[in-house]
Amino acid sequence: MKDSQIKIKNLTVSFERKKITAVQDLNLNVQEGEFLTLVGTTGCGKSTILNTIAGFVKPNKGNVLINDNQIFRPIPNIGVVFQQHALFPWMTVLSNVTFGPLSIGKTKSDALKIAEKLIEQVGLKGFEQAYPNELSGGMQQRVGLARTLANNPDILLMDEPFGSLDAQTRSIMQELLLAIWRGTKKTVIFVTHDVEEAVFLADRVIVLTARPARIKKEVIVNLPRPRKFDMVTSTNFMKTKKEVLTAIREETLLALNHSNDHISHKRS
Amino acid sequence: MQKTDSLKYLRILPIPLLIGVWEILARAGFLNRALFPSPSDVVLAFGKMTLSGELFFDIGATLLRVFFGFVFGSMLGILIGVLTARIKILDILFGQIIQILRPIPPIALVPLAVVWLGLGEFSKITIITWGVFFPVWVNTYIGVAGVDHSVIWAAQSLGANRRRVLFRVVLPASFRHVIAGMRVAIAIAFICVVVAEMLGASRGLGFRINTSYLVFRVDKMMVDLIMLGLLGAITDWLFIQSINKFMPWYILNSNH
Ligand SMILES: Nc1ncnc2c1ncn2[C@@H]1O[C@H](COP(=O)(O)OP(=O)(O)O)[C@@H](O)[C@H]1O
Ligand SMILES: [Mg+2]
Repeated sequence: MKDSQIKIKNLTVSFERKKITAVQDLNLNVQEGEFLTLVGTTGCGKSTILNTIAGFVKPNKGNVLINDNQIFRPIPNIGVVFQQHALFPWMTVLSNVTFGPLSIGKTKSDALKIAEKLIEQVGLKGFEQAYPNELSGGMQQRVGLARTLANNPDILLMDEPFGSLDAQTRSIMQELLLAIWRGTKKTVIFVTHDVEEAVFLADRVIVLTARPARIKKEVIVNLPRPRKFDMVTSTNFMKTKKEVLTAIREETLLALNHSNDHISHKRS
Repeated sequence: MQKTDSLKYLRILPIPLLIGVWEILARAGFLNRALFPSPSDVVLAFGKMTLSGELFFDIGATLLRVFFGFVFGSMLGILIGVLTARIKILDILFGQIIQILRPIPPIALVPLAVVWLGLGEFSKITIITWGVFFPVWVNTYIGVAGVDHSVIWAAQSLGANRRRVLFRVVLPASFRHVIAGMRVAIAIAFICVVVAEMLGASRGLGFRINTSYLVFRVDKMMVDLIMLGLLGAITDWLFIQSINKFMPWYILNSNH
């Protein structure tokens, strides 16, 4: 068996300011080319895990290895797509997408070529000179995806990228993402709190515990590829979804009871 | 529509009314014309001051001082604002000092500036620079410190080095705040220049108002006051216009 591309070892991340441990002793390996989804209740530490892999947040304990190299800071080989798109509103769509290639020393003409191709691939041809604020939420996320892909990273980290889109747009974006993934075989770690999305996209779903995040359950998704939107009604899909849902529900209830305990504790 | 139109007229109506009543009262002898020159006296004084070139030189002197003070103060404010907002050590070292100095009205420092730096241009420009510095610094600081960390992270993970993150992301993201600070600074620059000129100068609108006061020429004072009001308003307007023009250019070229 091949060595894992991403290795997370005993990862613990806490925020001193709030005395919160967001992630505790997390161990996780991800294979090259794998599509992994992380699900968990809100505030359980999903973004923190992603931000640590990306090199934005320093772990208190443990480490993240990419191809056996420890991550200390953001690197262009790890692309990140953010929940609130995080586009540069003072730049046109084209300038947003060329930003990465120009940052890593590509020539202007190369950067333009890369950007034009990607903008077309995400279906935004003709919007090169538009500003992010002139676009719909779905289009903004397409730009965000194109901007991240422009550096051709081996690893894509996506933090609830479709969370704020309507169901219709979201389903189309999911298919777009899968098409790109199929064409490039990048490793994807995709965070979501939407169980159906998690199962639909993934080779493997990781269910996280309520804070601090640890692995609660791992579910392998045995659905054929390429995935089609109507697969969500198949019995196999339903079964997998139920498995994930049950695990999440348990955690949510535990978290709720915990906070109830907290409240009654304070009252008494 | 009609209603708002007629309301608009109502808003400017008091101006000619006031001027008219004033003129009549002054001419009818109800007002001491040396103390309350009639509007026509003021217009006359304006004509004389324009012809003699006095007005032109005073405006020129005042505007130059404002210009240099504004440019130096803004540059310092932006520079130190960015540094203190981005580099924690500098914030800890200098943030407190700046906060202590900030409440001192720049006008109160004019005598000190005269004692230390003399009566020349340097001391006046220093006072204006001082007055301009604080609002620009505070707003730049707030803008830079408040930049959403996700755009900075995005730039870093796209491979941008520190300089590129600063110039392509942090500065444009705080642009609005910096501009707001600079607008406040324009008004402060005019206050500072007038006070600095009053305490010692050989030309400038502030100097002229003061000498007119000493020789009791209220009509000339009025002309210079109106000029100051107009200059302040025009400068602010020009600043906004140039920003509006400058923004799209800025945006379009930010990556090339
Ligand atoms: N920069 C930070 N400073 C302090 N606390 C934080 C910070 N980022 C996240 N947290 C806290 O850590 C916990 C996990 O946050 P996060 O990883 O964003 O959760 P999720 O993405 O699963 O909703 C939350 O309780 C959150 O308030
Ligand atoms: Mg999150």
